Amino acid sequence: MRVLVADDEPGARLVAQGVVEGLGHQCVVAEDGDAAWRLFQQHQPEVLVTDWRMPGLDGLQLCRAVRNAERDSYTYIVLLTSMDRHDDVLSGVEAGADDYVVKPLDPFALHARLLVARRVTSLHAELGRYRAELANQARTDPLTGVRNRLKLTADLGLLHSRSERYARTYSLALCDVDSFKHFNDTYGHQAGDDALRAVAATLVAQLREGEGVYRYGGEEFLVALPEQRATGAAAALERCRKAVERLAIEHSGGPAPVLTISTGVSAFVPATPISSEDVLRQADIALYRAKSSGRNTVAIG
Amino acid sequence: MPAQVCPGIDAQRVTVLRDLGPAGGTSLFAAVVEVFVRQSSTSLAAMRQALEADSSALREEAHNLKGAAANVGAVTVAALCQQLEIAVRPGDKPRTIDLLNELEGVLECSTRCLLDLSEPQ
Repeated sequence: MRVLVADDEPGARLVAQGVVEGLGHQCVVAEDGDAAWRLFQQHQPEVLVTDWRMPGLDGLQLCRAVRNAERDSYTYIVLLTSMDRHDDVLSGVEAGADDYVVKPLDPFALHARLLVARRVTSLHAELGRYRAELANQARTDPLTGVRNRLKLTADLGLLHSRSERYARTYSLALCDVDSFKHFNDTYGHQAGDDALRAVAATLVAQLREGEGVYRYGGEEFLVALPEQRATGAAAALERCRKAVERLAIEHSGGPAPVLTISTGVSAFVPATPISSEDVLRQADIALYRAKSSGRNTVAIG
Repeated sequence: MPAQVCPGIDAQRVTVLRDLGPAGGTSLFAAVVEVFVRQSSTSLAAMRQALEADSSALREEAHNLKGAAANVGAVTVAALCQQLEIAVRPGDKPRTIDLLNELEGVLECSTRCLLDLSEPQ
């Protein structure tokens, strides 16, 4: 573990450092509270062992600063305190300290605290990983691996408000796999799932980074294209259409002998602002036109 | 043979510090003694200087030296510092002077003992 020791007394610092390094941990030492805060930000230690009375930030202020700065990581804080300062201990724990050790520092006492610190910080790290993984899973479509509607709601909200504020344009494209029900009925649901995965992967591969692909419904995908006018977006989606065609997935019930997609494109233009729901509605209308004009095509709304 | 521990030094604390092992090539105990010796002599001088003018500075010095002494096992020095902290508060100057004189003597003895103990054996 990385352990930060903050104490203005040089002898006490040496003892603490001796214990920490003797146990095989990495030790960073600070001579006062301000240096401790700087070193904390620089090294992000798993453990902070801090004196109570120090020049600069005192132990209490340091505890608060560390707790305020924490995001996904957790720093285990051990307060060093005098024998007779019970009130200090309580306010220290309230400010965020996990435990305390009475001075002069007994190596055995610090050893025990570091064992607890290891357990608590690794638990926090594990929780942080799970949290990040779950947050990611909650925003991903499990079948195709592209983003899901939950993520779309958040991303589109952000994209729209930013475009509105800075007078930027963006486009939305709705893609639908042609005659997908027929495909499922003919080739089975397993083949249907494989086809959806292949289409999703093709869209992702054809589009630029920063252009988001979302699973919108059963066989519908939505593509968000920041900074793209309708014509540019339509060109990008035409590339996608051709790429899906080139996959050459057999489809006897579609407009071509292979699996194809139809797409409706619509743009937000700052000169004539409309809501993101209206942009989406226009894309849907355009998709309907693409479908009714023979499928396997891109239409602009 | 461990060197004789004189009164005023907590032998158990000395053992604990010695067991902590090496720090940067020299023994950790020797390093702790060295910083204590340096710190205590400047601290004593500062206390004498503060005697006339600044009682809060004297109390602060006594408090700091108390911590440093306890850390190295100089328990009598620590106890005297504690008494100094108490005597300074109501401004008991004769008592403060007595304590400072006593502290000087004990500090000299304790320092010598600690330096002996920190010699490589």
